[in-house]
Amino acid sequence: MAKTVLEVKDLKMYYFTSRGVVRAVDNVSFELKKGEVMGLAGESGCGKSSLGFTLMGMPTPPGKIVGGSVKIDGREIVGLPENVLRREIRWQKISMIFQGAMNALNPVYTIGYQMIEPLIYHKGMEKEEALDRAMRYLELVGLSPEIVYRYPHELSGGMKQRVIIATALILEPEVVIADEPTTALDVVVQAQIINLMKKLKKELGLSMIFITHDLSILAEISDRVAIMYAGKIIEIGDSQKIYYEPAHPYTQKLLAAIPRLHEDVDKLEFIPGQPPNLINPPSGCRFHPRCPYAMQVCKEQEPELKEIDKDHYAACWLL
Amino acid sequence: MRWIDVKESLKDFWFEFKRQKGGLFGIFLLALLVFTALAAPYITEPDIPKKWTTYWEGNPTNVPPVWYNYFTTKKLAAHEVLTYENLKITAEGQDLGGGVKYYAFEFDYNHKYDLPPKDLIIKNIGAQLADLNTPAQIVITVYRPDGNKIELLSADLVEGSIYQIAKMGTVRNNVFNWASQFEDPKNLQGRVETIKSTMDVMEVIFAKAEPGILINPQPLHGDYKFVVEIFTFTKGDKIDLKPVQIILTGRTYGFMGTDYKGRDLWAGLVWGTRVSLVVGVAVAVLSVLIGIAYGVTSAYLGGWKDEFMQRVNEFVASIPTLPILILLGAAFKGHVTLWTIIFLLVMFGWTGIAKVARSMALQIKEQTYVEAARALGAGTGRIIFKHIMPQIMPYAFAVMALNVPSAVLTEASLSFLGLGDPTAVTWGQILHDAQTNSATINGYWWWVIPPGLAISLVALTFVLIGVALDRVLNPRLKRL
Amino acid sequence: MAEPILKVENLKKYFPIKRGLLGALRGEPPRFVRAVDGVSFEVYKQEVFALVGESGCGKTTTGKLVMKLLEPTDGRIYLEGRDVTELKTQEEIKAYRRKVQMIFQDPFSSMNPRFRIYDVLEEPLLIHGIGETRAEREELIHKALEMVKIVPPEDYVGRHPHMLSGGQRQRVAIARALILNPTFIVADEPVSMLDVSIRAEVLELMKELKEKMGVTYLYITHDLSTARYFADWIAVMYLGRIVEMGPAKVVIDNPIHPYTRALLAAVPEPIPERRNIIKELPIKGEVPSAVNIPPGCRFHPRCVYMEKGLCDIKHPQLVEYEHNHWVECHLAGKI
Repeated sequence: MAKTVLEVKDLKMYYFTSRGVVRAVDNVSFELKKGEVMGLAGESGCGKSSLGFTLMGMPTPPGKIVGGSVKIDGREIVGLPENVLRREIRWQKISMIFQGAMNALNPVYTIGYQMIEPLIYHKGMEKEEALDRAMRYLELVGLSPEIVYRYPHELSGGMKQRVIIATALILEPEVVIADEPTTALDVVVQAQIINLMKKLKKELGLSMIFITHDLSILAEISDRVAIMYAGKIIEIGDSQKIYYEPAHPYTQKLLAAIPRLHEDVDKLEFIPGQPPNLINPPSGCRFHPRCPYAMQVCKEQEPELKEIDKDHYAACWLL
Repeated sequence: MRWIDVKESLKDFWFEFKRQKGGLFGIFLLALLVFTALAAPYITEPDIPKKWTTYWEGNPTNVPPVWYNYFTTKKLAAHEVLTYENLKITAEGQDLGGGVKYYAFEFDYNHKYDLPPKDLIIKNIGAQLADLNTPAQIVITVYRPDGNKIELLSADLVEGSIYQIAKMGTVRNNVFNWASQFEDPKNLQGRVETIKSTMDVMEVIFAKAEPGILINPQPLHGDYKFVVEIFTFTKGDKIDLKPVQIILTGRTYGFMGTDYKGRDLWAGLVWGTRVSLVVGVAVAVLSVLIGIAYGVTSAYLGGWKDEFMQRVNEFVASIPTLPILILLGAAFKGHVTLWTIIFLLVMFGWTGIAKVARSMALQIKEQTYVEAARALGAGTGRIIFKHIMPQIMPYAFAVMALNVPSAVLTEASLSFLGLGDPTAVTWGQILHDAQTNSATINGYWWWVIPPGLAISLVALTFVLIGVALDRVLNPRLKRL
Repeated sequence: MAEPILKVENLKKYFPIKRGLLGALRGEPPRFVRAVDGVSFEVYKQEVFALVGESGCGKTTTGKLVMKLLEPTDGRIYLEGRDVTELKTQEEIKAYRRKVQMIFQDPFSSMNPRFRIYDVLEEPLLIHGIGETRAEREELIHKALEMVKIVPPEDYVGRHPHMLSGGQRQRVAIARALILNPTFIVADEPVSMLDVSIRAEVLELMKELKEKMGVTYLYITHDLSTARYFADWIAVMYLGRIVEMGPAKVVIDNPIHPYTRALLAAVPEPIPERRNIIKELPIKGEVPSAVNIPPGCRFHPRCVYMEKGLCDIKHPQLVEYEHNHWVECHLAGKI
């Protein structure tokens, strides 16, 4: 049985803004095993990016972790002081591929310089050794090793994203969080990057959390899928079960909204209304205002994640 | 921009600005300055600017402010002016027989200072003489608190005669002679002429009658009575005492002292506020408006026109402003007016903001919503005024505020160098006069420090406001 | 057959690259970015014509040429039969703008953040002098918002763009494009920046409005799935040229050009069983720069079926492979 590299229990992260408390991550629990890719899907504003940053131990200010636990490889990181997080956890145990990261490469430094920076500061490596490792990882992501001497503006979007992936892997973390890694890329490059991730999953036993709003991309790589809505996970389970037997009405609607390439769809379904305000979320089940099957109990009580099938959980009063 | 939009923006702006403590303090200072500038005619006299270029008769020259007495051990006499109402008339046209008419009045002076008034001036005695060959006679006597009396003066009196006790030679002689009776002969040995010519007449009149009275007079406090007697000899002579003015020239004067022309420096400071504010604000506002118009146009035209306009901008910017202004000022010395200065400062001041406005306009021009406006059919004018300008204007206000201090300082520098408007009352000009009259060396601190502080105050006000505005309005710092 | 609403003939747009003083002195020939290199197509009334391709293929530039936000280097544009390639006067251009409108990709940056929704929608009315009184304009604005299902309109007209969600903003953008009752709309990636679940809503709306208002769309996108759903015709662009063109379903279900095939293979599909299988992509390398266009067939360096001696030397012609299905490939039908 593969070991659990990431264990999240009842995690809560709230933003304390002048307008009120935004409950961005509200009681989230899941597990990630080694070599597994878990997809995290949801509409914009559901809290998935916030969850990503929280797992890194760096909730965006004014956000704060207010409860729960995050254990990476058995080690609890909630409550650790900032310097320990910086020196021992971040990038070494868990790293992140940020949204639009390829545009965050510093244009005045070479790729190599930016890649070896964490190696020199975190691991205390010598420059030679670090550069060597950088080149190995560049090869791993399908780039020519001499890219270390190039500047970001000399590379295409796809190449830059590969550099970002290589940089995220360079300290060999247990978990990698990828936040919309392919959103800004063309469809062919996107497919190539997804192929790369599949390869890394196989060769390195990469454990990854893949965050996106695009369910089609998720299906291409995820072993398990978690659907987030208004700060909560409302359905989680094995990919095939989620895609073919979605239990929660929200998941069903999300899937129905995907335009199919080889099928004729008369009318694409869509979900009326908008995601709720996280300062004042609806009472009971947060999806009830938009749910076509909402019942009285849905307005009053919040449903818990229930096991519906083997490795398939959903939080809905209909089940 | 609708009024509701403007009101809303102002509300949002004020909410942010309120949090800038420095800015609020700056507003408070600005309110003070504006009030001073507007109320100048009421705080001081309305005709100060006209009077400024003349000598101020009746004022002591180069004396410190009245409150200076609080800080010194030697108390200095204040300036007093006595008129007809303050006098005790004891005789008015008394007939002494033989065609002689007698007029007399007296006034008291309580000396409580360590240094008596610098001078005692009696003037404006209306004397209508029938025969100018037989003038009237005036006798001035002082009765001291210690019982001694000194006959200060016996002289002719005609229309327009002015008697300045401290300056008249005859008085000096009389006082010296009176005082020598008390002085230690040893002190006088061989130095009579020196002492007579260098002694401070007023100090001696008001000094204790004891040895040392001439070389080191000690003040005799108490009530002094001055008696003025006038004799007319010709029938038809008329003496009118109503316009009489008795001036006890103080060793201090006013709130801020006086300068070499006896001008009340407090009035100068107050009126100078007007110039500083007007010049500073006018230059800042005009140069920013021109700069923005130039920069936005340049950005919008693009291509070689833009390049050309930028080269012109850089050329003007590289001209050294102050030396050129000095040259121009020297060339037109005396004929420079405030408006000329404003014009010149604006001519040199628009270049910086033009560059920034151009960058901002260039960025805004590339925004999708500008392209969308073009796609809708918007013309150049609409794009500039509805899309580009409203984004630049808030930042422009911050720049305006920050430009004021430099305008004020440049104007002050020009005036200081003597190249400013000679008819205007400006702080720079006061400093110029101070410098040419060796104020610093003579220790006239009240002439030098307050104008400098005033300039700094105006600069400080606008810097505080400008920095606060910048923090609130700078688009780069906006988190829209 | 009726006249096409929009006809584009051999449209070209070359952007010159600055040479610099030295280059000019040395007599270097001027270089160009050949963004659009000879594009021709026709769009008929109430059709949705999709221009599909990756970034840099020239589809957005083509859209801007049709909008006349850019001037073509060569070629002609016909709107409702009239040659509109060269419009001289301000009136002509303004009249054109009333008929041809645009929806931009980014719903946030396409509206001035300081404007209220009311101002955003009033702008086209003011520019073209529609609605003389405020009341008239207000009514038109409310009607436009109702048409894009932003109700009640009174609640929204006073808000600023950042107070609306992405989907709502894009619907306002559609309202802005429609308020002038145009004949033709160029929609440049209108749903790419929206969540997948919102895309459906917006596309549905656009379809509905097509029926109700009789508009014709030029739909520019890189997403083949939405193209299939929304478009009647698809033209696949690569490096400034159309390499395949035909009815949407035909192009997607029976792609002939190797690039089309590669694009289709790359589209992610919600089939989780394939998640550990490396997807086969019949394409090599990266998109070259539009400055150095490869000789012969411009796709040949990336083509897995490339025939040396043919594809790298001779430029293929756009031929009608089957009825209404055009392809520009030497090997059409043979692979």
